[in-house]
Parts: sequence; structure tokens; C-alpha cells
Amino acid sequence: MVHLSYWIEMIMSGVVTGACYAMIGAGLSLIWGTLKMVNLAHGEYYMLGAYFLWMLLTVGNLPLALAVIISIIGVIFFASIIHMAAIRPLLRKPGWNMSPWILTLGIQILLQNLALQIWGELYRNVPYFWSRVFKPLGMFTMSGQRIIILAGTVIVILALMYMIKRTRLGRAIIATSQDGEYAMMMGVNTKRIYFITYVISAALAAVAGILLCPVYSVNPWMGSTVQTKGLVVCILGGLGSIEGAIIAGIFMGIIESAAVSVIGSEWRDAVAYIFLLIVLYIKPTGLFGKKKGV
Amino acid sequence: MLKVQSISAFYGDVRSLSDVSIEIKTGEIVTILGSNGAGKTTLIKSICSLLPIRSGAIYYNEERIDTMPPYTRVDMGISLVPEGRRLFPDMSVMDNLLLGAYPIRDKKKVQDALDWVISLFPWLAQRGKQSAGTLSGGEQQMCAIARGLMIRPKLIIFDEPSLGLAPVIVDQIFDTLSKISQENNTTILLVEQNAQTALEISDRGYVLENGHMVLEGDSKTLLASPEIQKSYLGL
Amino acid sequence: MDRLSRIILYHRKQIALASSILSVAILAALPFMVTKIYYIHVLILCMIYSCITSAWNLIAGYAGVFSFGFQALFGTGAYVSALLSIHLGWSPWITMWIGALASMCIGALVAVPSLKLKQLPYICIATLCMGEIIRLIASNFPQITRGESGLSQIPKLFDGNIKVKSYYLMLLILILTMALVIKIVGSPMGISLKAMRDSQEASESLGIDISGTKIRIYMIGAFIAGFVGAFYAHYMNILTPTSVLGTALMTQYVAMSLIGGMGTIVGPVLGSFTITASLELLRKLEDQRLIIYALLIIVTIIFLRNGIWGTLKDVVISSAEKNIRNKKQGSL
Repeated sequence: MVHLSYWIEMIMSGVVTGACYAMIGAGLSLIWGTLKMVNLAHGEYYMLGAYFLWMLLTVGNLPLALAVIISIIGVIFFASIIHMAAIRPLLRKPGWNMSPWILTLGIQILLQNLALQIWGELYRNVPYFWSRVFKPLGMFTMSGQRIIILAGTVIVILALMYMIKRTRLGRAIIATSQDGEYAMMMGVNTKRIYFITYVISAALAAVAGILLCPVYSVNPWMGSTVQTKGLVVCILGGLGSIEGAIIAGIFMGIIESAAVSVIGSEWRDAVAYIFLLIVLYIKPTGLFGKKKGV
Repeated sequence: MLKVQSISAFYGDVRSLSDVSIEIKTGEIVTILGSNGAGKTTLIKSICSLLPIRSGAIYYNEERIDTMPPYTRVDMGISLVPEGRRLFPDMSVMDNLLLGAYPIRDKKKVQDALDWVISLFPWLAQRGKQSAGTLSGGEQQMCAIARGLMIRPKLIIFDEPSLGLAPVIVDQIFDTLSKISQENNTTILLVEQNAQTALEISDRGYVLENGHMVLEGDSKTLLASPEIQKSYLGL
Repeated sequence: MDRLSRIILYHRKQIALASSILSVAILAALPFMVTKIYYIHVLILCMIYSCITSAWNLIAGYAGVFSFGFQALFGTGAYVSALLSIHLGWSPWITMWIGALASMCIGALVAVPSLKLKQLPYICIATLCMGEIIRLIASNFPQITRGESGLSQIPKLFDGNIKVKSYYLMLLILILTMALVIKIVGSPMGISLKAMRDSQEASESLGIDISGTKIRIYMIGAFIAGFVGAFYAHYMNILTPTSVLGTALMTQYVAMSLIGGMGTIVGPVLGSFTITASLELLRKLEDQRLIIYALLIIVTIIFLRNGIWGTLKDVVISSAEKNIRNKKQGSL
């Protein structure tokens, strides 16, 4: 029985990390779908979300719920400025289609170093939102924070899926990602859709940062690894497929968690990367990718 | 209603329209004939602002529209039914139709529009959940027409509705077009290669060749003209 | 102005030859002119980056294979050469070649599976993962590589007056690299590379062996990167996984290539010198340095979409065309 509880605990911890990957990956997939670019500054929105929350809680002494909401709004505000000032002017010009990506690489360096300047290199800690520890069935332990992470992710992802599948905005987003030119002829202001998807993705990353910062600590570089994992997940699930990214994210979390308990934590990232390479070798479009790419 | 005034347009570095003018009056069906590469697609893209024009102007109800962004066309009551199979293939038939009504925010009006197009194409009702890419060629074309009708357009532009379809289906589609035009007083701009069928239902026609407008006139006159008979009807 | 552009365009081969001889001459004379040994060090760094960026640009800008894991090839060359010379006591003059060959083998290993991937992001992320795996290997075997604390006291290439001697060796490596790049770009392989970049289907129908060409190019690029990496190891005498295998290095060569001008020969060199030199000049600013660096990348990409060299080229070509058109109209 001890053995079983050990495995359940491992899977649960994998699912929690995976939930974070899923949110980051879904955002990256969404941006790829409409803007056809890889946002290499995505992890920084994750970092900013966490820092904003930490500031509002420790310096601002705000109640948790309010701090969370203001943090998300803050990240949305930041992402809007970046989209308007840097990304939008590039989308109009023809030329190397890689330039917007490299631009986001520049933004990544900028935000990381700004964070380093403002908040320093000290690792900051955010208290658990819910410090109770549960022992369901008396078999394994589960902290309240992990329950909150899971619940939060499920709610956010369901809301995202509803928005994409059932609403007018969602239809416009899908149409834009399938055929931007004719989406415009249907009356869709594609520039606005670019803006909205960019901001929604940034908000998803911020939510992931906010939910996970009590478990990991807050520092200027926290976004980099998560972003690489988000990219891996987004490719693994098949680029542009939001469901694919979510499933791949959870899957990847569990694989990593298993890798940590079997061969040790220093190989955790390597296992994730090797797994992606094996999948791509067998199926070059990712697990849920379509045969024909965009 | 729509006035294209001596426009020129370039596709990359190649001039693909030079000094082209057309005029369409309310309630008319006008055909633009031309073979592949004559500049038909460029003309449509210019009218829709998908391609910037180098000179000339386009007016819709006396208002200059070539400087306005493409997505404003639908708000003005102009609807485009794209060439052949350009539906959004991964979206369901229903989502494609609903997207056609994108500018309408009132849910009741959207439902009314949906009921109306389903009354025109009853089979759409059963196929709503199917993804649009899995429909047959003729069905996709009808679905695209239905989508174009969702905003109850005043002017509707058809880009080669007969392309790659069996003659029976082409006839069916053209019957639908003339029915729509008569019942709702919708103005139709038809861009076609299929001269016979298109001219039969239309009032007037233009002939585009290598980016130049070479002929224009009543459909009947055009049908009888030796140039048309030679180059489009194979007589 | 337009006339001048036309003359430049007309005599571009002669101008290119003259200016390359001139720049080599200037670079060769610089150690006699600069007084501070530190400036020589900066110039060596500029040349090291020029080589990596040119090699990457050959693969990305010409062959269209965007590798985000190219730093691993540089690092492999550095680590293999350093480890062999430390543990086996071999001369660095021999281990450098072995490092470069090891890097070339890794390059082939990376290139073969990457070719199956069609979309750009897949290639970028897959190569990024491969690079990261190599970095993790270097940092997770502390018995051999001393892990994150890195290797130190790597055997030197020269005794006495190391900086100047290294400078001339590096200059030689840079000249050979550029000669190789120019030769490849002008060769039938280079022309097929351009065709490949512009349209995969077209070149396939022309009967160009895409996979073969891509793998060959990748191996050449990897060899250059590995050799320069090995030079770096013996020149700096210290290595850490982050410094030679980290993604920061990736950002460097991508940014340098783009700021200089992707898919051009001069661009990467220009970008490397501009960025390396300005980063070193900004060293006094310490923390703000990277912020300014980031802003430089952002501003260049927004305003000079094709990079410094690419934009210059566009300006000259378009104004020369104007001149030719005017002339034609005049004669009519």
C-alpha cells in the first residue's frame, strides 16, 4: 500500500506541474494560431504575474483575492503595451517571417533584466493561499495549494475552451487562424483579434505564475524554463491545437514527475526534451497535429 | 451602387489591372468574364481592399471605400462568396454560418438570418455539426453562399461559383442566385469563366483580358458577339 | 545619388574584393595601433562571434533551417577539446581538430531527424531541445566536467604575448571561415540552397537533393562552430555549461545575425562586431547593459527589418533601379 500511495502522490504532483505547462502551452498555441509567431517573451508574463502578486501581498498588504485580480490586470496592461508598441508595427511589414520572434526574444531579455533591476536577484517566497494539508483516504498527502492550483487551472481552461468553441469571439479567433484574409471579409477586424489573443495568452501565463508561485519561489529567471516547457508542450500537442497543448501539458508533467522519482531531479528537463524528440521522430507533426500544416 | 473608377493594381511587381472601370446599379446582376490570369481575382481583392490599388477609386453608394479596411465591407452590406472551397474547413457548418453573421450582435436577428438561409438550403439544418471541410464540392459552394447571405447583403460578390463543379450543380447554383436576386432585390456581381450560364442570368457583362477591360454591354449582345463566341463559348 | 548606387551595383564584385582586402589589412594592423590589451581581447571576441554567427547564418539564412540549438555545437567543440587536453594531456593543437570533428558528428545527428520537420517552429524547438540536452549532459556529469562549476586551467595554445598571438590565429580562422562561406554561397550548392529557401517544392522538382545538401551544410556549419568553440576554450582557459552551452549564447547569434542582416554574407560579421563591441563598451553600466542591449535588438528589428546590411542593400538596389529606369525614359 505504501508503494501505491507513493505513485499516486507522484502522479498528483505531476498533474499540478502539468497544469501550469498546459496553461502556458495553450497560450503559445493560441498566439501561433492567429499571429503565426512564437512568442519568446511568454515566460516573462508568467514571471510578472508572480512578482506582481508577491508585491501586492507583501508590500501592499492587500487581501489575496484583490491582489490576484490586480496582478492579472497588471500583466494584461503590460502585454497590451508591448503588443501595441512592438509587435503590431512588425506584423504589417513584409520580410523575414522570423523577425517578430526575435523581437520577442529582445522583449524577453528586456523584461528579465528590468525585473532584476527592480526586484533584485533574491528569491522571494509567497505564502500558500490555503495552508491546510489533506490526507484523502489516508493514503497520500495533498496540500491545499495544490488543490487550488488544480481547481484554478480546470476553471481557467474550461472557460477558455468555452470562449473558443461557443462564442462569437471564439469563432472569430478560429477563423482568423485558419484564413485571416477571408476572416476579414466576414467582417472580422483581424488586428483586433491579434491583440485580443495576445492579451488572453499573456493573462493565461500570468494566472499560471500566480497559482504556482507559492510552490516555487519568485525570481527574475523563473519564466525561462517554464517557457521552454511551454514550447515543448505546444509542439508535442501539435502546433496550433489548444486541446493538444492542454493534454500534452498534463502528460508532460506526469512524465517529468516520474523521471524525478526514478532517475533523479537533475535529469527532469532532459527527459522531457528527449520525450519530445522521440515523439517528433515518430510523428513529425506532434501528438495531435494535423498532417497538413499552416 | 458600386462604381469602380479606372483603377490600377499590382500583384507584387506585376501590373495585373490597368485602368479598369465598372459600374453596377441597384438590383442588377453583372458578370465579369475573363480567363485565368486576366485579373479577375485582383479585381475582387481590390474591391474588398484585400489588395491596395495604385490609382483610381472605388465608390459604394457615393462613398469612397478603397481606403477603408476590408472588414468594414460587411457592415456596409457587401458580402463576398469566395472562390470554390474557401470555407473555414475545420469549423463546423453551423459555425461557418454564424461567422457569416459576425457583424450582427443581436442574437435574435442572427437566429432569423439562420432560419432564412436554412429555408433556402434546407439540407444545412441536418449537417450543422459536420465540419465544413468534409462537405462535397457543391455543398461547400452552397454553404459558402448561405454564409454570404447571413447578413442579408445589399451587394453580393461571387468569385467563380461554378469552378470545378458538375454542370447539374452549376445550374442549380445559378438558379439559386437569380432567385435570391429577384426575391430580395439583391445586387449581384458575378465573376466567372463560364460565360454561357453566367450571361444567361445576368443583365450586363464586362470582359477582362490581361488586366484590361476589353468589352462591355448587355448580356444578350455579349452572348451574340463573335469575340465571346470565339473565346468563351468555343463556337 | 541614384547614379552612385548604379555604379556601386555595377562594380559590386570589385568593390567587395577591395573592401575585404582593406578590412583584412585593417584587422591585421590593429594590434600595432591599439594600446590597451583589453581592446585586443574585445576584437578576438568579435571575431569569435562573427564565425559562429556566419556559420549559423549559412544554415538558417541560406538553407532555411532555423536551429535554436547551435550553441551546443560551439560548446561541444569547446568541451571535447578542453576535456581531452586536460584529462589525456594531449596538445590543444590536436584536440581542437578532434573537438571540431565531434561537433560535426553531433551536427549530422541533429540535422538528420530535423529534416523530417516541415514547419519552422518544430525545427526551432526540436533543435533547442537537443541543445539543452547537451547542456544538461555537460552539467550533470560532475566527475568528468566538474558540472556547473565548470572547467578551469585548460591548457593554453601559446606561451607569452598570448593575446596578440591568439588574435592572429583567430583572424586566420575568421578569414578561412569567410572564404568558405563565400565559396559555398557562390557554388552550385549555394545556389541550390537559395532555391531551397525560396521554395521547397520548386527545388524538389528541379531535382536538387535537398536532404543531402542540408546535411552537408549543417555539418560544415557545425565544424566551424566546433573549431571556434575549441579555440575559445583554450583562449579563455575556463568553461562553464552556461557560458558555452546556454541559451544566452543562442540569443546572441540569432540577434547578431538579424541585426546585421539575415541571408547575407557581410551581415553576421557586421552584427557581431556591432553588438559585441557595444556590449563591451557598455560594461561600465553593468546592470543596465543588458537592458540597453535588449532595446537595441527591439529598435533595430522594428526600424530596420532586414538588418543593417540588408537595409543598406535594399536602398542601393532600389535607387540604382530608379536610375536605370530614369535613363531608359530619358532615351525614349
